Amino acid sequence: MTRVVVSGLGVVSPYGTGAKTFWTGLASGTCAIRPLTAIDTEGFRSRIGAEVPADVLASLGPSRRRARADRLAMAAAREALADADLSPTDRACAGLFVGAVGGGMLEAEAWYWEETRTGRPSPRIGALRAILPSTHAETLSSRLGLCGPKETVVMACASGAASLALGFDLIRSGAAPLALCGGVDALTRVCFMGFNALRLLDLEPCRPFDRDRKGMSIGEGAAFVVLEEAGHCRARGGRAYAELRGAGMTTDAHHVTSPEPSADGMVRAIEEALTAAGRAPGDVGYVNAHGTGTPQNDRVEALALARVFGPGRVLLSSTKSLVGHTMAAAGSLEAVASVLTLQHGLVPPTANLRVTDPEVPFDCVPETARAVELDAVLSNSFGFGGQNVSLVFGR
Amino acid sequence: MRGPAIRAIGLITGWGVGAGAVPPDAVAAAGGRRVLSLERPALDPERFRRSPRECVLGVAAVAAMLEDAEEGPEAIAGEDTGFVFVTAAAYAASNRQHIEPRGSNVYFPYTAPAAISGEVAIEYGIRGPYGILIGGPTAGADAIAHAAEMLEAGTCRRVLVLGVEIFEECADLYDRAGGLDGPLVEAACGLWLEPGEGALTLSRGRGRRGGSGGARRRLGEMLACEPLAALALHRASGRQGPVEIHAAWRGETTSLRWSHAPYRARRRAA
Amino acid sequence: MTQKEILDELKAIIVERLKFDPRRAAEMTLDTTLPKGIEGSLGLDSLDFIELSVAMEERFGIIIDEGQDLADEFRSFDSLSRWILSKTA
Repeated sequence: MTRVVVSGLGVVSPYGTGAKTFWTGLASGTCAIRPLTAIDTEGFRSRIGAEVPADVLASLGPSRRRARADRLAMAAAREALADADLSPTDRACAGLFVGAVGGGMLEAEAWYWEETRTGRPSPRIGALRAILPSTHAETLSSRLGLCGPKETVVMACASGAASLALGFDLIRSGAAPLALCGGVDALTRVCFMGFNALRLLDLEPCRPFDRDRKGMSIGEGAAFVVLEEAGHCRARGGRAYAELRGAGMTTDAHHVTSPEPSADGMVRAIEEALTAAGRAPGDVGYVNAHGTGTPQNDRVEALALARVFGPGRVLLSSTKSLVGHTMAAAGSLEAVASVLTLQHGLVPPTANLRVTDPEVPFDCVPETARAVELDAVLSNSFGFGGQNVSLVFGR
Repeated sequence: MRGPAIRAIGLITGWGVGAGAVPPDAVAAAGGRRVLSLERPALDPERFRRSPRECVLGVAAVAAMLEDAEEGPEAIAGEDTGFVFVTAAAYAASNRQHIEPRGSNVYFPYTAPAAISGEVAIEYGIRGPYGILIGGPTAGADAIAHAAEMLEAGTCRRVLVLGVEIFEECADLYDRAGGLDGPLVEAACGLWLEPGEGALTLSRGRGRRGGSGGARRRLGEMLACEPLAALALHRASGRQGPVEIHAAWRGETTSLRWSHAPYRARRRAA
Repeated sequence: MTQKEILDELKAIIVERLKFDPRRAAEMTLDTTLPKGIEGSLGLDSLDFIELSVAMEERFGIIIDEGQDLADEFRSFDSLSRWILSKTA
């Protein structure tokens, strides 16, 4: 059976640039959710989120023509490839899977609003250059010399995780020895307006698994990992952070936003991932939860975990409590968090957790990171429309 | 990889229903029209009252596919049916509605391509492994290859591959971007794939679009639906032997090759 | 406003914002039930109720407290219109 390892990591997060900075933020339990400045939030119910600070964005290089999401993706992808120390020959045969949703919508929105106000299309058509989420893959492949199979996955909140699942399948099929996989999403007014209108955002920083949780907090970021066939990595002297052992993908077929209340779809995704990994539930010590902080998701996810693992049989925590819900980037940011959790033997905490919901019968590691020896970690991502992706990482 | 069999195809396009409606030459048949549009299908208006046109087209394409298979919806319901959805721009109009200050932001979930596949999965009870790919004709070919991989891995017993394209919002933008060889033709196409015999290979390369080549000369520009619709045309031709479907988009090319015609015998002609 | 006037406004919201057919709305009465899961109801789900709430706030100038459990009030046009009357009195 082909084994797939994680040989490179790259992150731009609300903490700043770099996987190290990301881990420092998570491990310290620092909540990056605060009043937003990158978009105008006047008149909205919730006005907070976790944005990449302006000085960090400025440090990513010249910006005039490139969409915000493109710049985040490029920086994270560059770091992952450099971290894996890939040669140009390796890059040339690497696959590329990009999870994305908003694309360059932040820049495109302004174009559309101007057209609506004036009744005429704006000549600044360049604002639409990156509007399609598939343009990230085109930009990354051409700028970074990635010439293998290339796909864009748009599966809402599960996009980032799905990109890893598809890269995993590609390598196991033998079509390529390695792949750059990850997700990106920048803040957009459409997304912020939409989640506000759906009343899914907490007015305060989100409190996943808390009894009094009121909703999620939006974030932005990018995270990419290099997945590589283990023998290929060893042969070139590469370093393996962890192994991606299994992936499960299912659909609820229930509702365009709400999860299926019995948790059947989530349970099947988790069980498929474990089966593919050749692992039993008892082998998993920690779950990096989808954990958005909405009343529904956290309740149904807890039910799924109780059904698979048994109440109290596994630790869990929510990265979204620290860096917000970064949409298409979430699954890949949380994959990086899961890998670093294994590497450091330290479970990042759930921030803002005061009283655990009685319907969540688990230790959610409130406020302070915890040292734990782990063999396997499960990472969950459950997207709008009932799209469920679970990944199992091992040492 | 093992070549999947194609059990059924449901094709709805701006030309009409089925491969028989597709003209011999799209540019000539369009008569100067830039976009060949599809009417919103007359499905249950209350069940689909919230759903934008692209969602209802997806549901209708699968209904056409089931009719082609002479099966009811129960034949594809359940956990052992996988689903791959592919589109380039079907969700563009819904996004525009939410950017502009009209309509309601509560219909925000429908701005995502997942809403199209979500409505189809809900309508037909499809609960198996799932994927959504975004891109042009090459993404359509990738979607078929993914479905073949899912069948070969044994994660499901059948796979629905669905493509939907509508162009009410973005025709101007595609015009300005250039690179199109014919009219934009709205389409929705469902393929029912199951384990078959023979081999399927997918090869990728780089290259430019070769003018109005192959199926595109007849179909017009259907973007992600192009490879799926091309299969419908090929089946209708009755040609035997290996099947090759070529796709090209923004400097990338993809070729799908079946070692022999993958279509299951049907009791009646298309 | 009278309860009948409120019902007419609610029916207009059902058509304009929830996209029901006007002919269907014309048949609705105070006894018409709303939530999914009740036989013969309009089958409104969570997305619909958010949209209905937003429209009611705009149309009637009321504030709906999200923390409050209003399941009983939203059960039928009768219960909903009585509740709106009480908020606008």
